[in-house]
Amino acid sequence: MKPPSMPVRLAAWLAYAFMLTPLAVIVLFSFSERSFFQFPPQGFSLKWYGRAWDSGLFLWPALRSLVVGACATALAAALAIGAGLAIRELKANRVAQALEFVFLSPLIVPHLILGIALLHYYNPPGLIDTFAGLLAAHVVMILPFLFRTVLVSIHDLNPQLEEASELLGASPFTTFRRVILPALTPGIVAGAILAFIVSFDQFTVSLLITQREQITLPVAIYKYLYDVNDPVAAAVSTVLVVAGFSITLLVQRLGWLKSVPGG
Amino acid sequence: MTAAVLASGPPAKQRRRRGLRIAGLAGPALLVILLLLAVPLVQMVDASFRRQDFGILLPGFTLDNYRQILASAQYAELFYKTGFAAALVTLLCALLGFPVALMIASAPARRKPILYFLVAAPLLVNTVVRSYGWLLMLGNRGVINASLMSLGVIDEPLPLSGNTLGMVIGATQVFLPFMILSLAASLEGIDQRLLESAEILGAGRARAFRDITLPLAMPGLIAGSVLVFSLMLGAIVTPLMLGGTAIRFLSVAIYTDALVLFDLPRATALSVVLLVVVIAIYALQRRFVRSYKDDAR
Repeated sequence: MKPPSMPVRLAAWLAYAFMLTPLAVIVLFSFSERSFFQFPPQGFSLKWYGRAWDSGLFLWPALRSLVVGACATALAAALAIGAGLAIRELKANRVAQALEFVFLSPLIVPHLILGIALLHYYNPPGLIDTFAGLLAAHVVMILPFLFRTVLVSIHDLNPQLEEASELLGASPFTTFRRVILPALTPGIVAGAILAFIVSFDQFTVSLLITQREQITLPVAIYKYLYDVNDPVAAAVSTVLVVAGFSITLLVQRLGWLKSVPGG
Repeated sequence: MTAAVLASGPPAKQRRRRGLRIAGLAGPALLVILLLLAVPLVQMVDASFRRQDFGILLPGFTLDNYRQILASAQYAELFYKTGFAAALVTLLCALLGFPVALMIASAPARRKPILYFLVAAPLLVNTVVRSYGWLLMLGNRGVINASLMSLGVIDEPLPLSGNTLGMVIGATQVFLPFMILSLAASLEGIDQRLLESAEILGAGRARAFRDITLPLAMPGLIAGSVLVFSLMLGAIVTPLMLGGTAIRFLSVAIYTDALVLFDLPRATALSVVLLVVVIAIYALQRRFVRSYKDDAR
């Protein structure tokens, strides 16, 4: 394609500036000397990073976000492998299509609505603000992402390898562990990275079903902003900006960028 | 499979074993969907047909919640404003996203990765953080107001956040990457020979854009617009942080009803309305995409 004309390129760079400036402002603000925003920025200080650490408000939520993301991804991966293998057994019949739709259905429900539904549902059994409740909600939200990538790998699975394994006398479990699982690993890893990102970035549902004890990092930042608006939030946010950019770089290097956006 | 057929007895028994295996494989995932999505949604729908008293649901059945939502002028205004804001965000994403997608699609191969990177990276930064960035930009003492005031252009800060304007600006940035990636995927698929032929036949840039690029980018534009529009309808972070609880926006109304006013029946009735709209949009898109593909064939 020919390079676009000058006005189009200018508009494109403006759009890039529009996307990136707010992030740059956060990073700048996190190094500011004063507790309020000054323009142009003056002074340089790392004290807000120290305060964020000392406040003790972010460390546990950050660890919790990582643990919930990891556990939910592992659980959802196990569920997705089973679901994918069942769909392969069914070949391409009606039941398989219906199941596929069911396993992808969490994608259609807006997170706000899932959050309201779970808020109501979790209340009587006392699951609000518990780790189990948080984990379960994350599993159902990220299941479709793993299911989609695992299903692609399962379609590419060579049935002859399994037959050979069975003929040679391997038990179904050995066949699964030595033949099926290794063949699915690339798909699982790609899906797991995506699912972990979705879980780690999840805000709405986590906000609705937790109160104080089990909040995640994005919720902790939000609550902090609600109470005080000083560069401590910017310092924590800067860490997340850097993390987001690093993960994008990694995902792009590995060639999985195509699977990130909603399509 | 032949070995398995020879090894295990009559077909009826074998079929049953196959059925059991499928149930065992799909069962756990089905159970999770059932217990954590289907039942909660059914209970939510149930709550929308109830009355409440000081936050406690009463037994019985009523259509009052829906009557209130669907018949009052106040809610008509809410739906209108919500639809308008979501449409505005979608339009802004399309206007800002098209030039970027064109630039990416026409960039030399070695520059593409960096251009894609700069689109995808903001997507992986939490929405809370991105909205916070806009708060720092648009607030009363934010970048824009502070610099305009120090330059003496204005005396009073402009009301850029805590209203629909702030929400629309922030949400446009939050959803723009989806639109760009969707458009770029369509534009990268355009056969270059079409554009070359257009040039040889004497079509100018504008004509080639109108007759070739735009029609062929249509699937990407529609997919991106549907995605942005429906994501915006369900968005809560940016509306809450940049619009505030006072703005008239459906998701904010649901949030306020559920967590501030503890009026669960109304919150759930509004949620049901939102869910039906979002599902209808997806269903329409699927039909449209199918008919578009049929036309192209």
